[in-house]
Amino acid sequence: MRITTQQIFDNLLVGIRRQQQIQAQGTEQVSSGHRFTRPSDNPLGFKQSVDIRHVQAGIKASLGGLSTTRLRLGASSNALSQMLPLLRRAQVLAVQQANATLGAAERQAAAAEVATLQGQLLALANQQFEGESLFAGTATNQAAFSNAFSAGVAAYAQGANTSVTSVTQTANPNAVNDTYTITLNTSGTQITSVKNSASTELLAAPVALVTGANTLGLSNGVVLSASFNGTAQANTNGGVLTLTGASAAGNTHYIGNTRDRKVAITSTQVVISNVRGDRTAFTQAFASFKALEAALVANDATGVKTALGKLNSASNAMTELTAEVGGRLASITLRQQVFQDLQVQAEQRRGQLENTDIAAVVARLSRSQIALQATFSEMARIGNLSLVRFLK
Amino acid sequence: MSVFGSLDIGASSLLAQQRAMDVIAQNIANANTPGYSRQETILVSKQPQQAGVLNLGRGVKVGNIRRVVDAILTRAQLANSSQNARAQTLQQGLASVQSTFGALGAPGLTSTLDAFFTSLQALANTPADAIVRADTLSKAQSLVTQVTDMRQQLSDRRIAADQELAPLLTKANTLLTQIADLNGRIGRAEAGRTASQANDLRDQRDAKVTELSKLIGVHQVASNSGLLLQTPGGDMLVQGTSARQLKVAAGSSGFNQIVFADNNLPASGLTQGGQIGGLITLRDGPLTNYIKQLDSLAANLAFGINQKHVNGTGTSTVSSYTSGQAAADSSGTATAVNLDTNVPFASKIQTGTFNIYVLNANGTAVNTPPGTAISVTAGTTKLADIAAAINLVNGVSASVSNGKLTINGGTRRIVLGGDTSNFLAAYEINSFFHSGATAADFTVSSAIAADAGRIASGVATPPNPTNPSSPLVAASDNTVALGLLGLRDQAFSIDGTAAASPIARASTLVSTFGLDVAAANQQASFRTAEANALSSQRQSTSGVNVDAELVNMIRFQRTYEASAKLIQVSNQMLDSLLGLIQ
Repeated sequence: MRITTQQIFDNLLVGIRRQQQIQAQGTEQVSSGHRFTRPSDNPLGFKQSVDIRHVQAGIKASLGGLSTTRLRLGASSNALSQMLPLLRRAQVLAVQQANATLGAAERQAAAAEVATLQGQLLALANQQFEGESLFAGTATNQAAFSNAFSAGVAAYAQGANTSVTSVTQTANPNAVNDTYTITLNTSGTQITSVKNSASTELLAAPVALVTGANTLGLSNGVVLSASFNGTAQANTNGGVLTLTGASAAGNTHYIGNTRDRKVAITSTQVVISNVRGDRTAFTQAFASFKALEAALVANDATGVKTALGKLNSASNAMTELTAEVGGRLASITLRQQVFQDLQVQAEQRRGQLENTDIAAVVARLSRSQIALQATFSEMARIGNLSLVRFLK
Repeated sequence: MSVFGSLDIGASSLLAQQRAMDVIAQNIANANTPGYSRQETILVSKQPQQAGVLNLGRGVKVGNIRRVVDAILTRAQLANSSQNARAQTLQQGLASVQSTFGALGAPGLTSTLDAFFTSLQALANTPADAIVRADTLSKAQSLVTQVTDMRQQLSDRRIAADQELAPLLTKANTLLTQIADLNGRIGRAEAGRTASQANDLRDQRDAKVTELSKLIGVHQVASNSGLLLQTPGGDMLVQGTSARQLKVAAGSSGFNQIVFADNNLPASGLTQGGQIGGLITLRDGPLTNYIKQLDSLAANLAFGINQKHVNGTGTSTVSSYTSGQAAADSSGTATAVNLDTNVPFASKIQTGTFNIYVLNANGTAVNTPPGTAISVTAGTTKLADIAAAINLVNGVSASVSNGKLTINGGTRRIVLGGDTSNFLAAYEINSFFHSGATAADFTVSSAIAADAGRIASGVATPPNPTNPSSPLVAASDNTVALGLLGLRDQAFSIDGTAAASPIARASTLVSTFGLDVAAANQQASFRTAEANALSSQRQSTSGVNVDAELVNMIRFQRTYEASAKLIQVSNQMLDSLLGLIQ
């Protein structure tokens, strides 16, 4: 092959450029600590790195979610644990006051203590954590329990006679929860009967329907309002009204909602972070306290014994609930450990993928440096090799 | 043959060696001239003279000054030059948008998207927390900024590539004219001379063709009437002394296309080579692809999130909603809601219903049952029909103005939900994002941007019967927030593309770019290596070796000296002969 001077210099230049590229790449890898930093450096590696970082972001968020759950369940567990001594004290009082030899004065004093215990129980049941009710479901901006009067809500299921378009409750002073069957006369011009679930007639006299609202006063104190559309239908089936949630004053009842507080652990997995106040343990606890207080006030030794049975059941239920929450907390702890392990693994995987092998890069840089120095030296040597020097 | 014969032969040799020395001088002078092809002096002996039975030589002459070139190598270099320029342009173009795609450890599309969904997870876990809401809004705005900035930068680069075409075409046109001119000059210089070529003019023409090939892809065709150049698609560029001119014209895509100035027809195959080919490929290939992927990501994210978001409510009491999208006709009476071309996602609307809840100041429902279903029938229901249906709901009014639907509860809180028709999402009523035809219009809804409390997290649900006065919307309900978070890793598609999760779309976009850059880098490296190899081969064939030229110089010098000696001896012989006569 014929060789020209230009050719030799061109080849040397190509070699210098190549070595300088190696130097630039190596320097960047050493200074950044990463084998690649941009998508173009290593497209597949970059994608893998992005995927791992996505997983890491998910793990971090999962640990955050588990931490939130742990805090909420921990606060709930703490509140439940404080309820158990109250129940035990009530049990002690009940055992003491069940003694037939005790008189009204002792029982009145015990009733006062039970009322105080009941108040403490209510305060614990309405306890807040970070400004949010612990036991009210997702209705965290309100109390979980109330001992105020509640008229409840009415749900009307229309019957075959559709001329009565709606029936609502306007008064329920005795806090009665029941189901009312409404019957019309054959021509559909009057409401002739309103019977409760025990088939007891509660309407004193038929009510002739007028277009619009019609008031139905029932013998149990409940007042209903029936809307008539003005077009009588020859059908007696007026529908069924169901009253629920009514509660008398002094009866502690759950007013939170029936939805659990779900905490997202991943985009598809949730855990329940709360204990709802409509669990049996709460209902039994408040009912047993109420029963004990009533029996003590009434100086009723038999009633006190009955209340003791209820308190035992409530105490068992509360203990089970506390244990259940403890179990859930333990489960959360286990999941936290799993995610922490995953976090370590992901970090290791990312490190293996991204981190520079400093020793290898430095070795490559040294080799390149030697090659570069040799090229420069060769360039100087070639410059001296010319016939022109010998033709002087 | 006389003594004068020797003198003539010597004289011819002196002349020939002198010419050869001239060629060597030319070679040495152009040793570093780019594109120069070394020349060789071809010496031939003169026609012999017949003297009786003998053929006596008459000396030497310069038969030809040959330009040493390899035609196959020249063609390979031309092709390489074109491909190399294209590859370099593509590589540089992609490198110029590299920062758009971010780097590891720096905020990029994928990390911003991750941060957005992480904030949604925090929202789901603590929906009542105002700080968490502010963080979600901030992350959403970062995401929107990231997407729109990326699109803007990619779009700007595409426009820049388009604008670079015209000045390059001017250079190409000048070269085409110069090549045609050189064709003429070479033709004239070589006319009637079969053995001798216009070497330097041919070198000049080859250099111009190489320069042209760096701008556009060209095919060189051998022709009797000089060099003939075509586009890779077979359109004539230069024939003899005629050169066709190119110009830019508005193309159907809104960008320039390259056409011939003489007939306005597109020049075919120009994308296959040269800087112009690289720019067109960059503009219509990778950049357009990235923008499409980004548009698709924004569309899927916006509509996917909105589908969930419209069915919920946040911590703020909202009594009025106005649609983010407007119907084509201002009164909303002309077209069915799913056929309105003015609304980007109108086609997603199907027959179904959505519920409207009107709440009192204490959060309880005004109506029994609490929610009223509003029906939407695809192909039939118009925006005005929906307004009319909402007007029948106690405690709320609706109207259509400038094509936008407004739902107004006055002092009452309005909560929407249960949309099975996609109407709310398509018309962006209580939406999280606003979107247009492209990612350039992707924004956070103006209502949410002004109030993070409007980020929907919960839904309206019937209250606990034991507490009928409790609000329909529970403070810590996270039904909607969980739904939004569920999109993080859920594969879905609303625009006909393959179903993929938002993060997978973003990751694919970044990886596609990485692979494109890597391929462009590889192609550029390969073409550069090929160029170096071809250049080395050309140097080997056509390059000037100064040492070799000096050796030749000595050779011709010595021959010149010998010829001069011959003349001297011949002269002495003549002197001797003339001395005899005296």
